[in-house]
Amino acid sequence: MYREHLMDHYKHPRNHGELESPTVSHTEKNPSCGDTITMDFLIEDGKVKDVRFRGEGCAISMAAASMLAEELPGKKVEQVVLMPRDEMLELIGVPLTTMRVKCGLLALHTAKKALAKNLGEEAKGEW
Amino acid sequence: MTEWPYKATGIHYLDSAASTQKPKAVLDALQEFYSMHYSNVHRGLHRLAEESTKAYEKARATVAAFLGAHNPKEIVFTSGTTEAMNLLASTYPLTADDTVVVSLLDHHSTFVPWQQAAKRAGATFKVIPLADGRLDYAAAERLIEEGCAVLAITHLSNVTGETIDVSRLADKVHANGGVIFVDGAQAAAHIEIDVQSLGADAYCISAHKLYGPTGIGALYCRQDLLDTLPPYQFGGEMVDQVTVSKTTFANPPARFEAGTPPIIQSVGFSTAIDVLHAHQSDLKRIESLAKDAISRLSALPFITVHSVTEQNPGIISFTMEGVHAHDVAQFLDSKDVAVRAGHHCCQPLHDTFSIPASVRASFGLYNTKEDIDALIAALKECKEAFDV
Repeated sequence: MYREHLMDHYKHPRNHGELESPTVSHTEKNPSCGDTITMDFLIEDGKVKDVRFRGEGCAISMAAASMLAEELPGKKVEQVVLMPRDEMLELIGVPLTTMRVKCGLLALHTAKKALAKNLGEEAKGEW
Repeated sequence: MTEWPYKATGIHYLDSAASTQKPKAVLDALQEFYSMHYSNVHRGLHRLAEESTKAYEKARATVAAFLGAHNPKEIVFTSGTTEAMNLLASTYPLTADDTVVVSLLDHHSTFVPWQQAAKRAGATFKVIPLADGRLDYAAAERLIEEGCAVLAITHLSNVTGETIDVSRLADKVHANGGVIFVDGAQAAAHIEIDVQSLGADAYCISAHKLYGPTGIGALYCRQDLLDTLPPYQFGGEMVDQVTVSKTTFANPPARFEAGTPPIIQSVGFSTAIDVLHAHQSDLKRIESLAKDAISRLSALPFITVHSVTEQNPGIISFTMEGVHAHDVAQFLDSKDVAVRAGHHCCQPLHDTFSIPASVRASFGLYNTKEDIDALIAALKECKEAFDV
C-alpha cells in the first residue's frame, strides 16, 4: 500500500499550509482514528483558483489530501462537489484495504463540504 | 503438544487480546461433534438430542469449574462478554437514588451498557480515574464510599495490561452495600480465576478470547442474585408455563437462555478450557515473554509504551513518534506481524492519554521469542520508511 508515489506525497505534501484570505474553509474529522483535515479554498468565477490543506493523520489520509490539493486548482466548484469517490481512489492509485478507504476519502469529503458550503447547499452523497 | 494450525500462515500473531487463534483440538472437536453427535438440545427424545444436551450441560459444568462457581446453575451461556454485561445492565434493578461506578480502564462493552443503564434509571454515573496510568485505588475507594450500588469493572485492562485487584474493591463495595460485576474477557486467558476469592457477584467471559470459538461466552452470577433477576429476552426454553393470558418463567439459567443456544460453540468452549488447563504452566512463560517485549520496546527511542511495565501478562500498547498507529499496524502486516491499531474500544482512556489511537501487541499461548524479534525488526523498518 505504501508505494513510492503515496509516500512521496506523504513526505512532501503539495499545497500544504493555509491561505491568507480564503473564500471558504472547512475542517473534517474521522472520529474513529482521529484524523483531521482543514482545507482553504480561493474561488474565482466559480472555479478553484487556489487551495491549501493542513491536518494530522495517517499517511493515507495526508497523502490523499496532498494528491487532491494538487488536482483541484482550475476545476469548477460544481464539478468538485459532484466528484465521485472512485475518482479519488483512482487518484490515490493503490488499492486500499476496507479499513483504510475512509482515510483515503477524508480529504475529498472535506473539500466537498467546503465547496458545498460555498454554493450554499449541503454536500450530497455518502462519504 | 498443542498444534496451532494458524502457524501455517507464517504470520507472527500478536493480536490475541482481540481474539485468539484456535488449537487443533478445538477445531477437531467442532468437526467431530457436528458430524456425529449434533442435534438441537433439550426436549428431544432421540439419541442425538440426548448427546447434544449432555454435551451442552457438561460444557456448563466445565465453565462453572473454570471460574470457581459453586454450581453450574450459576452459569448462563451468552454470545460473549458484551451480552453478559448487557444482560446484567438490563436486568439489575437501579433507582434514581443509586450510583453506578465504572473505571476509565473499562472496555466500551462495560462502560456503555452501564452508562446507558444509569441514564435510563436516572441514576448517577461515576468513573474511577487513573493515577500515573494505573487505576487510582484511593479515588476508587472514595467513590465507593460516597455510594455505589453497582461497580462494573474490568479485571485486566485490554489496553494497559494492568490487573485490577478485584477482591480489594469487592470488599469495599460489599461493605457499602453494593455489588461488583467484573469483565473477565482478557483476564480469563491470562489469570487463574476464582470468583469466590475475587468476591465477584458476577463475572463475564468470552470463549473466543481463550482459544475457543466466537459466538459464545458466559455469565457467572451468584445464585441468590441471579434468582432475583427478571428475564431479559423472551422465547422458547426460558418459560415455565404459557397461556393466552400469562406466562411464567423458568428458573436460571434457562430463564436467560431464550431460543436455540450456541450448542456447537459450547463444545468448542469446553475443549478450549481443557487446552488452557493443560497450558497453565505456560502462562508464566507468556508473562516473561511480555516483560522481554516491553523492555525491548522501551529501549527503542521512537517508541512510547502506554502499558504497565510490571506484572503485565501480555497486553502492550504503544505509539511510534511521528507515525500514525494505523500506518504502523499496516506496515507491520507487510512484514507478517499482526498487531491491532485504534482505540481498542476504550475511547475515554485514549482521550486521557491525549492520543487518538495506539498500537497494541498482545500475546497468547502460541507466541515465542521469534514473534518479538519480528515485531522489533519490523518497527525499526517502519520508522525508517515513514521518517519525515
